[in-house]
Amino acid sequence: MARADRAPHLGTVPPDPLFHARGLTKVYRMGEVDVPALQAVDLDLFPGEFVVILGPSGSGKSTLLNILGGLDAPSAGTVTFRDHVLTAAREAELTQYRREHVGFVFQFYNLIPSLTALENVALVTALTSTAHGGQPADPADTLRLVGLGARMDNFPAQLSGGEQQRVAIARAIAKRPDVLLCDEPTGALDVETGKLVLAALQRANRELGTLTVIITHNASVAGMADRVLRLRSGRIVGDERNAAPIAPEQLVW
Amino acid sequence: MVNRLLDRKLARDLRAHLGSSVAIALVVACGVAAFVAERSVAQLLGSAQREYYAAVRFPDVFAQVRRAPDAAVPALRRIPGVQRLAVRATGEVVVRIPGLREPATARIVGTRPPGDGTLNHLVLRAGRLPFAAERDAVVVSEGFARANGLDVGDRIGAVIGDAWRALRIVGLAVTAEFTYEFRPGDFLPDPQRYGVLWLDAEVAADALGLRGEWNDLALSLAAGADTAAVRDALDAALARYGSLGSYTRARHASHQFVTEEIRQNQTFAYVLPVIFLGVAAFLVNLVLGRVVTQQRDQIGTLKAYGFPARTVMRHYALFAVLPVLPGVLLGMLLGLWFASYLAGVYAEFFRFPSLALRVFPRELLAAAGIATAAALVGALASLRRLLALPPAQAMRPEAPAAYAHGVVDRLLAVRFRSPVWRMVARALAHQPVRTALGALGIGLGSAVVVAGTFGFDAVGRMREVLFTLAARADVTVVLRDPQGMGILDALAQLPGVHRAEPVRELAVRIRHAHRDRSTALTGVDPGATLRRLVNVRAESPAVSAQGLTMGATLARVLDVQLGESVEVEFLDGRRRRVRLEVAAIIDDMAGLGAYVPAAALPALVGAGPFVTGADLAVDLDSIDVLYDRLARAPAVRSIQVRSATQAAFDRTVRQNFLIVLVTLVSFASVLAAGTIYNAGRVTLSERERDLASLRVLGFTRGEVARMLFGELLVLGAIGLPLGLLIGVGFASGVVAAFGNTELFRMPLVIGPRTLAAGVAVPLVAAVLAAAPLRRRLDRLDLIGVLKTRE
Repeated sequence: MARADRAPHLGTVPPDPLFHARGLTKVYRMGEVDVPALQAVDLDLFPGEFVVILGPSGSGKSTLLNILGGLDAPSAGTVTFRDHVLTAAREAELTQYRREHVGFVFQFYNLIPSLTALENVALVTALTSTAHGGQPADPADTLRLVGLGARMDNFPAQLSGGEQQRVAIARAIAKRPDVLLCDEPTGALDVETGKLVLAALQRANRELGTLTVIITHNASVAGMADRVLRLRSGRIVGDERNAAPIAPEQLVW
Repeated sequence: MVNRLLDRKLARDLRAHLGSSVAIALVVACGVAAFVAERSVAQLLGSAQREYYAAVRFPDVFAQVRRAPDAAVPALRRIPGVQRLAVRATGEVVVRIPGLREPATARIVGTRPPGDGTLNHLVLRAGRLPFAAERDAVVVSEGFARANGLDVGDRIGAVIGDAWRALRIVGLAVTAEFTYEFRPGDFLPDPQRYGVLWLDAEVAADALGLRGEWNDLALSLAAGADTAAVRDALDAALARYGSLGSYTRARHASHQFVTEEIRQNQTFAYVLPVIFLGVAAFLVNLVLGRVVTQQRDQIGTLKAYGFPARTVMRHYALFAVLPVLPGVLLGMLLGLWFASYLAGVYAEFFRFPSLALRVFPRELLAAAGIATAAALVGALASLRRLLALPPAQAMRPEAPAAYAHGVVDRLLAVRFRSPVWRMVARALAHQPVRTALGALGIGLGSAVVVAGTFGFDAVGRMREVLFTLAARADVTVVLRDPQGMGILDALAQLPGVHRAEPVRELAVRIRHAHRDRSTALTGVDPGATLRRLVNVRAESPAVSAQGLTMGATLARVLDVQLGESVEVEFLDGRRRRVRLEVAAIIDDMAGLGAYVPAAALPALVGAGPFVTGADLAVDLDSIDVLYDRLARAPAVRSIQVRSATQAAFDRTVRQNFLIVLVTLVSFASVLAAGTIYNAGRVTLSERERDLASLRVLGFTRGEVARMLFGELLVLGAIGLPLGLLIGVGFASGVVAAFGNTELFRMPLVIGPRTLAAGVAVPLVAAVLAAAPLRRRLDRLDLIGVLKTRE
């Protein structure tokens, strides 16, 4: 079994991991048979990392993301976020956790069609400012950060897919989350648009220092990551560090 | 095979939409129940009336005279167009019933065994008819007997002529002319204190001082006879006998009342079903519209595989219509049950020989037909949409709802700074027709409550005016003939009487152009303390010192305006006629009122001071003695006891309204709950992905619930006030259509309690209907939304 808990910066004092997962196992019951999705996964994720999790469909990468995001509970094992034990939390606590610490980016953007780009972002920042003391970013500034300063008052139906996904990224980062979880963020986009979206994610990671986790089956995306995890059949089969991540524009797929 | 598979899909789709289907079925059931009940009752009353009239030979033309000799009859029978003509003696008397404290009033009617020339036969319910010249034998009307616990063999007492008479009950009977048995001047029956006593024809004439004479005539018309010509000839022949003028069934009190009731049932048979089936159509439209949107990929696949459009249409049309069928069935059962209940209530009021519920298959078929048609109308838009859908386009997901800044949005943006309320406002403004219809659906729940229960307020006002404000006398005595003022002193001397005030009411016929009505002309005494003229607004209008003051109903039926003059004919022996100008018209509550100042009355009739009755304030402790003395006084024609009349009124109202109240409140609840449930269910289905996304982003269950219920709340906030307005509109429609009879005027009074119920009933129903949605919302699939698009 691959160990994934090495310290990221050799020679310096290792920072505390943001996520600390041990023995994560998830079994889905499909009718009469048990289908294992994760099998005793151990994993530590550190602040500021840009992590790409690669794996074919059915490898367990979505299940892992869902558990990290507080949307699903493992059948066995524990996950802690800082000092919160997510695997012991009740539904209301998990909601609070997602609200304060997690930013999500979905494959199909999941914007609210009746709200403008600006309002979609403001909806979430309004939520966070009431949830914890920290100041969320200004929604308009965040939209400028993802290159949508001119399209703030457009409704989702008036935006292209790439633009919608960048609004979704702005929505996710505007509340200054500790972790950004992205589920196939380029899955519904063409190559060029996908690169723009990845660039926006990378910029957010660099400028805000947010731990960013992207799951994808597109191996090319690995080129821009600090760290690449490979999953197969519910196990981590590879954990590599990228000495020189390349810019998203140079990715080829 | 293919169809079998589609049918299996249909069964599963229906099961997946069980809640919506049940809600639609219940709304349909209410509409069908109302239709079946009202139509069945209307048919039942209509056919009972027709059969009854034929069986007992209910006459076509009626007339009353002061007295006419038997010798005049053969000439009357020869009037062309007359088929049968019967005369008899009739008159009101005071009777004493064992066990009934107050004296009752009865109408004595002479009767003969059925024969060639006879009309108005009795339907014996027990016992026998009186034998010829059997002096103490009486047949009692069944309702009167039953209300007083009387049976064949019991004895009652009455002053008939100048003598107290003990009568032996030999039979109980009903007859068509007293289907609705009520005292003239009242408008609700009091079966304990008013009934009919049939005596042998000769005995009755004798007892009423009409030996060899008669005062009541009825005739049936030959087929094709000219009614107007017969009446003209009759009126000409009867004029010398003091005729009050002939009239047809249309003016016959009992016939009028029963016919009016049939008409009401026929009208209401359409009002409620239109509301309920209209809402059902809207709900079908809502649910099917959503299903077609959700299943557009399936529709595209079916079409791409080469299923004929007809098959696909049939599939979705069945999805729309099938849930309606259990509703139709339930509605039929409910309607028949309700009809049988109503038949029971009517059997208390209308004395038909039998009023057992029959099933009218045509009405049931019609109900099923219109309910199915309503569902298909609701389905039409969606069916057309799926027909037009090209397979390739259908298989692509529908584009996201295209919101854009509009006028509404600019207005809303100022109002709602919170993104949540903007979401709600934009979603509602995005589909204005659906929003309006949804609000209307809830509002109609309000309207049904208001229009269905304002009758309590209206009747409450009538009760207040009639029994508290207008009539304050404990006992009112009506004299057989007008008497001098001295009678007041005599009455005041009776045991327990504190005060006796004069009553002056004279039978008149008032004519304006070709219209006329027989009624009472009342002399209003401004100093009276026991009786007051009160209008529908509970005010005391003044009686004009000059000319005639007329009630609005009389003015309406005579088509007379303020300032016009009418002819007033006094229907006593002298038949004096005077012309009077209509100096005031007042909104009186009951009857066909005509008023002059009391002081002016003697001069108009051409007589000295007189009274026709008296209002008495009495000591209730010694009232039994007083009743005894009054009941045995030959000068007294009838006695009205206010507390007893009021109790009978209350009993009638309770009987009539309670079931109506319970029914309408349940129906209104179904309407509001069905609308809210389906509107909420469809909205939830449309927003499911948005709301689940927001849950993933950290919104709590309560927060996303507020977004969903915010939309429903706004629907309610628009719908309920709108519904109250519609309800007030319906109520004034009911008053306009049915509240202006010649017997009474129903005031349009809608009290705060009715309005509060109009809000509370649909609101409570809506909250209960929304509860299952909340549970559904709490179980949103958060993981699913990460991966799927609609």
